[in-house]
This record gives sequence, structure tokens and C-alpha cells, in this order.
Amino acid sequence: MEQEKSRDAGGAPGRKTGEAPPPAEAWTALSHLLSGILLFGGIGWAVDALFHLRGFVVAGLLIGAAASMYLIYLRYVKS
Amino acid sequence: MTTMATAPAPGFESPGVEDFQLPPIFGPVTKPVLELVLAAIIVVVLFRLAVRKPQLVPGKMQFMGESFHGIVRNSIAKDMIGKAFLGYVPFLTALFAFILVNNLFGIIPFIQFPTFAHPGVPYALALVVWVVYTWVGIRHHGLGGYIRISTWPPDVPWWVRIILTPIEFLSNIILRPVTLSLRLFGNMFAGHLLLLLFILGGEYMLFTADSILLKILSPFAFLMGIVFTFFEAFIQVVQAYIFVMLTASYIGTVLADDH
Repeated sequence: MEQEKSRDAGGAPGRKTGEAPPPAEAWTALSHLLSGILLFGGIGWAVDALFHLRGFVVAGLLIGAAASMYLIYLRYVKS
Repeated sequence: MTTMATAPAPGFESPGVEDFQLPPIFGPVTKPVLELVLAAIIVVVLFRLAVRKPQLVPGKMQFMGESFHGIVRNSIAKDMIGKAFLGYVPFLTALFAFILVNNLFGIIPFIQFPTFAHPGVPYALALVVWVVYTWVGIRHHGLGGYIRISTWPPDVPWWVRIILTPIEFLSNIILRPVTLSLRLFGNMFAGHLLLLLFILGGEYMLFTADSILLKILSPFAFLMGIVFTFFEAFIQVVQAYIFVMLTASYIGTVLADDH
């Protein structure tokens, strides 16, 4: 009954805004990681293709991966 | 599988994507379309039968219906959604039953095609789920509030937010239904392909191949086909469960409050 009550108080106990319940967290983290790499890698690739440059795609991929990992840290470790 | 005999038999053509492009039966209606309709009818009829004459001591049908409902209610909805889970149990139960029946079509004799192995079908299903949890989120937080909890990481400087918010937007709002459908599609597609490979391969070894060795070995291919049919039954149940569990968790996510 006690457990029932703590659950009723806004999702699982201690869950923060926008935070997924445990089994979905893994899928969300993976999704964040792929999103960051795809988004910034894609922007880098577009910059390379538009201005006939090189290297922005690599920079974009790295920035995207780093940003995703920081986002996962913010959402699931720090909070 | 190269032919070694003097009169070469035609080579084995492995099953591929073209085996999933089923021809229309009449008009634009294909086998997956009929299966979807059939699955809906089966689900409705079974649940109607289960609650036709509800009794305090449930009969067999009522017991099965109540058990099914109980699994969704207690081990999916309550854990994933938390407060106010009860309102979503009918949707989740129907979703689970519908996906389960469609998946099991993959191993039911004479039907033998899992509906969600056709790529268009799981996308439509994920779209329904996306509309539901987006609507629930907007109703609970308002449009701005829903966007904020989905894309606004707390306690970071503005220049970090410029980088992180597009990632969360892409991940939470656009890619979520895509990954949901791809997971179901990929599992059903691969499983059906695996069964096709073992059964068609066994048939080829038995009837078409020249080598007597292949004919002798063909029962093992059929045996593997049967083993993997049972394995597929397991995968089909698990994937239906995961789809519904993730749907419930997305609803739980958009309902989560600040306090």
C-alpha cells in the first residue's frame, strides 16, 4: 500500500521532468546518441558539400557524439 | 550451393526482400491488409466472448481475458505510467492483443506471414502511438510545456542549450516513433526470413538438388525450421510486449511532473 502511494505521487518515486522509466532509459539514451551524431554529422556533411570543403563532417560527428554524451549525462546521471 | 553433378540442377535462390512484396488479392488489398482486419476481428470477438457473461467465479474465457488484462494493467501500465495509469489500460491492452495476434500470424499454418514484417504496417502503428502520447503530453502540460519537458535540458548555459536542444528534439519527437516501429519491423522481418530460408532450403535440398548427400541432410534443415518456429513464437510475444511497454513508458514520460 505504501509503495502504491509513492507511485501515485507523480510517476515512479524520484523521477524528474522528461525522464523515462528505467527500461526505456536505455532506448532513449541510444536514441540521443544516434540523434547527436546524425544531426551534427549531417550538418558537417552539408557544410562540406555546399562549400566544397573537407573535415567539417568529421568535426560534426565528434561534436555530435560529445554533445549526446553530455546530454545523456545531464538527463540520467546528474539529475 | 554449387552444383557438382553432370546434369546441373538450377542453383538455390535464397529468399529475399521480394518475398515480402505480396501481390494484391483484389484491388489494392494485399495479404497484410486482410491479416490486419482479421486480427482486429479476432481481438474483438475474443474479448467480447470473455466478458459476455461476467461471473464472480470466472469461466475459462473470462479467466483468460482477465489474466491478459491483468498483465497489462499490473506489470506494464502501473509500473510505467504511475499516477492515472488506469485510463490507459484499455488502449494498452488492445494494442498488446492486436500486435500479439498479428505477430503470431507468422507461425499460424496457412497464414504464415507476420503482418509487421511488411515495413508500412509498423510505421502506421507507431504513428498512432506517437499521436496518442503527444496528445497526452500536450493535454497535461500544454504545447509549450510539452516541448519544454521534451527538449529543454535543465540547468545548462544558453550556448550549451543551442547544441543540446536540437538533439533532444530530433531524438524525442522525431526519432522515437521511428525506432519504435523499426524494432518491431526488424524482428518480424528477420524471423520470417529465417523460417523461409530453412524451409525453402530444405525443400530445395530434398526435391531439386542433384546431390544425394543434400537429400539425406534435408531433414536437418526442416528440423531447424521447426526449432526456429518455436523460437519465433517466443520472439513474437516478446516484441509485442516490448512495443506496449515502451508505449506505456512514453506515456509515463510525458506525464511526469516537476515536483
